[in-house]
Amino acid sequence: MYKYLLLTVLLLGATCFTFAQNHGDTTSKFVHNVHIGYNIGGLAPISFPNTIRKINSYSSGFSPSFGYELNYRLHQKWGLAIGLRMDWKNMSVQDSVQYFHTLVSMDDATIEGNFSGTNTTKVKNIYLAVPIQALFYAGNNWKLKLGVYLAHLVRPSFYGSVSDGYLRKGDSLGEKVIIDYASFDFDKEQRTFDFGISTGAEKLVYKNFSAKADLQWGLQPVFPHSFNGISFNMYNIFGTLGVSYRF
Amino acid sequence: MRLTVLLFVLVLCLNSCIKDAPANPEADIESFEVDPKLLTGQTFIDQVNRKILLYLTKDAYAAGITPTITTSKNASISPASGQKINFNGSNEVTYTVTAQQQPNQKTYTIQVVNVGDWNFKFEKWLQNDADKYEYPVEDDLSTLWTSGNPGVALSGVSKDPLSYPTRSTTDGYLGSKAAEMVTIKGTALSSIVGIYLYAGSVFIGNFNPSVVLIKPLAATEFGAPYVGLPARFTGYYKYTPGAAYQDENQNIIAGKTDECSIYAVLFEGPERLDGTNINTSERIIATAKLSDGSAKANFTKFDIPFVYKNGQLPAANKNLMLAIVASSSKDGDHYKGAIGSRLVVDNLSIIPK
Repeated sequence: MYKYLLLTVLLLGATCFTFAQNHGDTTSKFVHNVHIGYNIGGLAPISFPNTIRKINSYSSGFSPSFGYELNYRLHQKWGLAIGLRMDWKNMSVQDSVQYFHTLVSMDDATIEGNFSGTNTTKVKNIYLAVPIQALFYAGNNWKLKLGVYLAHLVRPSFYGSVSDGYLRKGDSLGEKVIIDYASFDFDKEQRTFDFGISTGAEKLVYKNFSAKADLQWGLQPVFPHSFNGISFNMYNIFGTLGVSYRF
Repeated sequence: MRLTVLLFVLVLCLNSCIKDAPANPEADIESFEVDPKLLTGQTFIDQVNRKILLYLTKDAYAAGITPTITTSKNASISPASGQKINFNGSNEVTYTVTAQQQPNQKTYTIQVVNVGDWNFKFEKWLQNDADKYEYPVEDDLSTLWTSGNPGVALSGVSKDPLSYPTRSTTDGYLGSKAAEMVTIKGTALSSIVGIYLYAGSVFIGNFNPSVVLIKPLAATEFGAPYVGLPARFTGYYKYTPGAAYQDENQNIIAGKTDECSIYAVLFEGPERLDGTNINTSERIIATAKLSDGSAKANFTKFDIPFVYKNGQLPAANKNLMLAIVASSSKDGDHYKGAIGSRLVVDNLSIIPK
């Protein structure tokens, strides 16, 4: 996983270095921005496993995002951005699953099996992230960004329930245990570090105000490999719609 | 704007990315119907040990039976449903269920339950493959007795016979082994569903894990067919209550001492009684209950007469069943007792009239 991070940072570094060489004499210019937005997305697998049969409901809940970003113009067209942002990466989803493999461990007690029924997952994570991006001033007041983000999970919250179904103990050949309702809480199982691709676009629309949209695509599964409660990898994939103000 | 479109596509994808349903990986025998006239007790499908327990009349045993079987959806079974099976001597009858999702397969063994003399020494024990708990078997390896261990296994205790509340012990009265029951602390997982304690138990009957989370008392299905009428219930036991009695919410109740429970219940079958009605059912005909559940440092003999309800014997044509139940904590079925309470029973017998 870390190799992606390393690669991206290296590429970015190389880009910066090139700019520095070519345009080191360009007059530098700092721009400060603050922004506020709303996150929509989810903690989701890249490709849905066939054990997920139906999404019954989805909501992003109260997922604000706000932050500060420093822009440094290297060149007429190019620049660099580094920021600090606070993201509520929330999701509330209810889905129907079939033969969904899970292993739950608490202290030294472990239960493993395949669940069929209804799953409700509520994620209310708060991340503190540092996006590092290359800027491209596309003209017509457009600003495009591409880079990486590094994030720290400040407040973990991942919980939910399984209901109206049954567990096959061990695997699908195990005995059936009917489950009315059982809750789970995987807060502390999540990794506290997240990173991924960060990209976005901004357009200056009124005086110093810009409308912006960006996307943070996590490249590292939120749960470590040692965690078996969910049988597929889940990534933070969130888009943000918002406004920013430059000064 | 392009990004907004991308986001929109992403959200759409949430539903459109649902894949085709997986082939059914399950291979259960879900029902096994035999003409009720051929049965002395209700058929039980032991999903834990993959056995079909049949309680057949002598004639049905001799002539063979033609069961109607249902399996998990889209699974196949061999021999097929509706095919006649015969019991010729030592040959084991097995059914193989093949799931729609290959190569999942499950083999069930038919066990024709025949309680010879009701005299149990707890000498032979086997270990469950997956969860490693012990269970007592008869000389012919058939299972008449079971325990709450399959339920405890669901709380994720470590896979070691000694981490379960019911197991064998060499500390027996006669022979090499006896049944040991120890009330143990619940696990971190069981505490989520409000279970803080598990009492050890052995009983004649079956454990049905499917209902253990929604209706735990119904998971213990008591009884096996009994021929004739019982007069007395005898055996040996010793008992050490644990230090601190706790209620179902883990509150220590000062001054209260745990008690063991040992009893036998004769009732009208062929349907079994379970933990919800073993003491209260209208179908109960007679009971023999140990009245003194207090500490006994050494093996102590008990000999308890069956007390028939209203002093009346049942009509001769009744389909009778008998259950024997022993537990290291009297109120263990309601998750009350003292952790560490230890009961050992040996040489349990039903003396007929």
